[in-house]
Amino acid sequence: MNTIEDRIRAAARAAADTVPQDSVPPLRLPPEQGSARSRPGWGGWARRLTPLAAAVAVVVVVIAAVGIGRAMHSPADRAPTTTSGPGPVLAGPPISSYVSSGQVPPYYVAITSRGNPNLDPSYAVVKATVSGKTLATIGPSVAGGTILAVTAAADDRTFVLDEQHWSDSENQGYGTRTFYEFRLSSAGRPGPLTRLPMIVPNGQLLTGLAMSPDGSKLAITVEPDNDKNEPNLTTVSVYTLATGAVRTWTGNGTIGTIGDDARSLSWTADGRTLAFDWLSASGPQGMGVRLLDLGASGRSLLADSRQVVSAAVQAPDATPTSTAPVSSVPTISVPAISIPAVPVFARPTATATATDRPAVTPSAASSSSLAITVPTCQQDSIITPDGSAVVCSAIATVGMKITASGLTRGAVTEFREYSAATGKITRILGQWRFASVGALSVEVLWSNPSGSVLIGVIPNAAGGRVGVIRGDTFSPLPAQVAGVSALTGTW
Amino acid sequence: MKANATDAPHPAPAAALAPDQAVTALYQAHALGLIRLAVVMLGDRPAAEDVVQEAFCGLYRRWHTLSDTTKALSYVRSSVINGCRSVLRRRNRAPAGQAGDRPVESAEAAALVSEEHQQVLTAIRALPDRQREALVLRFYLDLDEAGIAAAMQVSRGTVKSTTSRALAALGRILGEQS
Repeated sequence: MNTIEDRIRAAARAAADTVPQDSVPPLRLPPEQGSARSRPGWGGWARRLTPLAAAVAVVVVVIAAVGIGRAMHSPADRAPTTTSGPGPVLAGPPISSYVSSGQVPPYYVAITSRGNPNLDPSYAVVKATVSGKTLATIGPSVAGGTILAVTAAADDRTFVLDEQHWSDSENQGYGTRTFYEFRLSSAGRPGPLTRLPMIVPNGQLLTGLAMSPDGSKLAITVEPDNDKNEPNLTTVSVYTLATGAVRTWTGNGTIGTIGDDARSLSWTADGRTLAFDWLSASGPQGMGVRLLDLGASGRSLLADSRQVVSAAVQAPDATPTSTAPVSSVPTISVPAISIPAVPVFARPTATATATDRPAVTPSAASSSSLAITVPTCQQDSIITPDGSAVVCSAIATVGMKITASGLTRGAVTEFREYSAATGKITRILGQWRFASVGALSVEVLWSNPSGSVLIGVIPNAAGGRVGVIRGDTFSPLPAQVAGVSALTGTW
Repeated sequence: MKANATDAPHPAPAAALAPDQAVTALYQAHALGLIRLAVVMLGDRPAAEDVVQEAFCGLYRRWHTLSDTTKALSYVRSSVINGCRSVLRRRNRAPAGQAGDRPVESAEAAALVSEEHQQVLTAIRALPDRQREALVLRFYLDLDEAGIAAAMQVSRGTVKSTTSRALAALGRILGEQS
């Protein structure tokens, strides 16, 4: 009998051989190389440690199946929206008005690199929200270090950096992590770095970190035995910085999708609840956003937390996207039939006919190539500081077509707010349609206490744009100043 | 014996070419092998092509930031692996019973792969991300530990233990099925 290795080899080669040598499709490069040159900060976005981050950022797309047909949901099931459907991005007030009125913090810290962040060490920069100017640069605490992530307290003055020894090898995901706190002056000038007492030892995978709003605690999530006996084990540790005391919860599953993800965790302002993105080891039904009760006395991550948003059932609860009034908005129903996923680079063969379209009507669709999807939340949802809602960013591709000059596609976005109490959608901001986009970038970076004002990423012709979102208005931050993008900003 | 196309000769020196020319040349030299790699991972030709396209587009967007263009193939291979991981995770996120929770392998492709191979491939695709990747890189691409570590961006020790665990898990799965 063949060994298991032989069986793997044979099966893999059989699968590979289904792709004939002469069947490789032509490469369709995006048209924005020129703009890429003018976007030196793109590397900052991609710097999230590994190409996985880039893949997540760029390939964020598309749910696996799309319901076809319509159903009228009861009023209780309908999602109240600020608009009646996706429309154009409306210009909001200038960023300066948000900052001067105290609605948006004045500073942020971003991570960037002098070259390719996957190949060169990274450092932190302090930036002004209004002008985008770099106020200070913060390098690693030791020579030969690299800064991987940053998290902030609610005061917009206290930040913690996640640092490790830099190696140009492939082991960045598993090196020893150290943590440094610094404070900004009222003018945005950083004070000295203070080493915090905790570390994540070599060999453990750091999957999330978040400072508490009052700056007194640091939550760190780790897969401590990733490469040995318990690859699914996750620990959530909450450290009290003043005393070094720590509380730890454990569970079987994964938090976030990339290493050193400072967006996979978020706190409520009272410090009692920690929200986290969760993929259960038991399967997709356990994937979604959970809220950990930090006052609970147990040590079980699942027993002390509850799921608020289930990613697995998002599609049937998709939001209304037609232009009909809210009172009669049709929503995407649980499908009687389904169609396969339409990936980013859809094949020319249509996967659905025009008559199959759900409420989303691609504005630039060609009859020969349609990508019909409903917006789906991406990873890294956050809880609003008042604890009332979980905010996620959702995007879908529409109007995809392949022409002689390459691929074009549009997108629709939503910034959804799910009630932390009921899990129902309570509000939708940023319900926009984009005729032509580059990367399918969408993300929530910051929320005001109630979720009525967000800082987020929306798609544009290149890698995305950061700005303030309120209702259906968007106020862009200065795109790129001094070579650093706000895409990795932490407020 | 190594799998063929991803180990094809490197095209003309990348530094001498414009970014679009360099990336296109790299694509012409390695796309077939990378698509095959993605097909092994995903069992889905269209998705595999999409992942590879996206990986090369990502490389193109970042070309000007590459300090060492000789690492471009390593970069794009990692991107393909991570892209496959994303596709599989999206499948896992699909509501139960809908098309997204299983590979959408074409009937044509399925007909070309024997039942025995299908059984093994299905078992491989059921493994956790890192285990699946370690097995495919080891036994399909025949990469050594260092090469697998580079592609997966983990340590060599992780490669060794992950491969060991993956083989044990696969043996259990196939043993249960047969």
